[in-house]
Amino acid sequence: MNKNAILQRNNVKVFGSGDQTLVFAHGFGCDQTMWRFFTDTMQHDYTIVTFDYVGSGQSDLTAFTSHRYGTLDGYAQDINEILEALDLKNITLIGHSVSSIIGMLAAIKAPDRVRQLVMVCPSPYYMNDLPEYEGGFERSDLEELIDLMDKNYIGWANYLAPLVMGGRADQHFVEELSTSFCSTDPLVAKTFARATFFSDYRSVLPNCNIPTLVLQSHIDSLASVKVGQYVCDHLPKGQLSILETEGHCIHMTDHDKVETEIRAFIHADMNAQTKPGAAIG
Amino acid sequence: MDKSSTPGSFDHMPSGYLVTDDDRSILYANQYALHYLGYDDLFGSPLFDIFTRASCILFESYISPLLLKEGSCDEIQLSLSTDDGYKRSVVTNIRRDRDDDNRVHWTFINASQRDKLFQELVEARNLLEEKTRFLEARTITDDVTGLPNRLSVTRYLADRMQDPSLTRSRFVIIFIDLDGFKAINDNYGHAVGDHFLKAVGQRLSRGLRATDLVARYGGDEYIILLEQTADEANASTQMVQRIVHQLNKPFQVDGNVLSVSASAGVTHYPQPLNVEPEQLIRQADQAMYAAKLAGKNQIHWFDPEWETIQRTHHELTAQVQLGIKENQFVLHYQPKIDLITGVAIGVEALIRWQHPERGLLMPIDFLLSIESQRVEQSLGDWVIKTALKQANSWHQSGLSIPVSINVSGFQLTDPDFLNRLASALAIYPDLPHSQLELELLETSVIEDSKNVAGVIAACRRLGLLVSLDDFGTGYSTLSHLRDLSVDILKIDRSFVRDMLTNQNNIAIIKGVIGFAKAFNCKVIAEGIETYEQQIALLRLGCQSGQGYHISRPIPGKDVEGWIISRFSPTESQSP
Repeated sequence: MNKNAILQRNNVKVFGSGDQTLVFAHGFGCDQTMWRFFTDTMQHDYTIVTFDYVGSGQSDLTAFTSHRYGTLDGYAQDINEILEALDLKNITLIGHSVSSIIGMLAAIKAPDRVRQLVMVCPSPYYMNDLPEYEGGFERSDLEELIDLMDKNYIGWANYLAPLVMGGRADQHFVEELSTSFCSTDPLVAKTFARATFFSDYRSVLPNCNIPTLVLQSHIDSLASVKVGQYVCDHLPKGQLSILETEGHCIHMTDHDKVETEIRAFIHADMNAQTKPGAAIG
Repeated sequence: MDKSSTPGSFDHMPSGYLVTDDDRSILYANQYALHYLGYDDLFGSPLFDIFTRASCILFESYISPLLLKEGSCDEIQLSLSTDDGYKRSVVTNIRRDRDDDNRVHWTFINASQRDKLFQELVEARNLLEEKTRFLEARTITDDVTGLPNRLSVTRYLADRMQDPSLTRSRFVIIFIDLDGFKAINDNYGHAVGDHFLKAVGQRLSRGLRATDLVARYGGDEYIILLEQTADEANASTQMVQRIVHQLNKPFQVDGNVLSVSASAGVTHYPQPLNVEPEQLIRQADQAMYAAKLAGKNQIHWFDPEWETIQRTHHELTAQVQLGIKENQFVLHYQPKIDLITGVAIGVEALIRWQHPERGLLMPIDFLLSIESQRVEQSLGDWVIKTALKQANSWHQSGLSIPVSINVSGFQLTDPDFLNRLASALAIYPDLPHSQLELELLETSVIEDSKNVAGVIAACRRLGLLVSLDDFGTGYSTLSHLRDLSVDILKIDRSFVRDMLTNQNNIAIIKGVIGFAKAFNCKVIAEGIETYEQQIALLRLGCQSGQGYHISRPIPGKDVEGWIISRFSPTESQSP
């Protein structure tokens, strides 16, 4: 695909100004507009890139395939393709929730393009694997989640129409459907949900050699402090910061605190890189 | 509480109502909510205490971002936990009040009815999916044999040939048609026939590898696609034989022992020229048809060159049609003479095609390509009409000379031939019918001698002359000759050409002359190219002839002049 096709497919927005580029990757169930609490202020000091994964927000739904987006690697490929299309190097990649892991996968593939990672409320595995690991959920909880998602989609006709009519439904029809959720296609949303909640990426953490800030909420029903600690312990260059916040969407509820942490991380890392011998440490 | 003095209260609401603070602690729960969830009191409890784990994820992933962004969301279905651990399904509307410390107001109603409807929807969806799968399978599967059907194999072939990753692939296509299947249907009924077709499909499938494909193309036709590696290319003939010949062994079907054989056509891919998927199937089909014609129970390989020839024939046919319409054809006339006196006794009309691109074409350049096609009749009709017009013109100007035309076997066997001929003759009522002679090819006459004899007899009754052309090249028997009863026998040029050096030809010529006498016919030799041949023929008793030695075919306008010049003082009759 050519550059413009990718930027259009992922509804990529580039704004702000600054030598350092921050790329924001939204989490499951959301789209890039969730970052605006941050980006409104950070755009004065940084170049900002936001986008929607294929299947989310205003992305091109026709580019969705269950095969590619059935695992998080497909979403990571979206990021890598965007970075290549814009030819970005040394960026700071900030991912919320599942995008922490997606961002990690993208960074491992393109270490020259991603200089730093920020993980906001990450979890490499949502299920319990006791006694070693407490992901927080049992399989039955996650199956119930998929069931609840099914019940909440009024996009059923959209799902059924191709069965009856053959082929995919028209794009305009898709757009007329529920706006109560960020993602409008039940098949797409469920595929993302399964990729997010049923995959185990714990073994990949040690392969990420990029300086990584792990921001964890003090109370988060989706990703506990223990999970944050686990992530940090297994990342070669991980740095955990537990915020006195509650909930999973701290980039929206407590964006000031999160922004402060991120700015500090970027600057500290840059200073470290300019000091002689810093690379050794 | 005095109910009569309190017209309304949240506790009287027939739906649940909760208020939570920004930290997700429950500040208020109305009686319906408490009762519905089995709690005595929820004040101060974390909201997530009454949420299932799945609802917690949904809240964090969807609801919370929406409340922060939009301030509200409606009709979200969640499952809540009761005090004794049961799950209750609810539909909620949620508002976040920015002006009131970001308190969140929740209303919910029982969604069990909605759950049932949803369950029905799921079942309907499953049924629909199942039905769709069934229909999809039916459109590509043959009901009788369970094999892929015609549509399926055509699509498969197209996909395979267009797949860029398979550009170097090789395969063989076998088109099989059962010999004698109709008899099974007729004798044992269609149910047994269907079971037999299925058994054939199974036997064909058993002999194949996973990479091969067998499909029922229709009726008693099957198509097999055999994958080939480069090593196997040489072995493909044996493979095809093994596959086709296994059908020769008897089948046990519904207690009957049934036997058929198979005619098979085979083609291969790739080919030197680009081919379309349908074209490949057509090639195999054509080869199969050739196998049928050759006596069934055979395997024929398709010859790509044959297809090229066919295409040329097809194009030529269209050009001939256009040529007739645009008057591109002309007749030239070759004089026939009395070999003793030199007097012209007739002319043979010979067709020429003034082709707009290829120049003047001889019959050999185009007649074979239109053989036994409708256009051959059209051209034959044109010849008859044109020759009659010319003959009439000469007759009007006082030149009484018979014109002979060549008539093909295909023309003769056309049931309407006599009617059309009679109509053409009727245009020139003053022209004696004996001025028209029909020259028939001996070979074409033999093929359908009974019918042709009738047509010949009818022509003679009309007063026309009939001659047997190329006589001696066919295999006429005496009884044929007797039945046909023609007016003239023509000695073929091939015998005349070598008559001076080949004694056998002399013997044949003598024989023909003998036949002519026996059946009371005239005899004429064609292809006389030398004076010596003319003399030799005369000595054998043949008194009429034509050939380049006498005259080449000449345009109609020159015939009169030629005849006159034969008798001018300057013209020499012999060297």
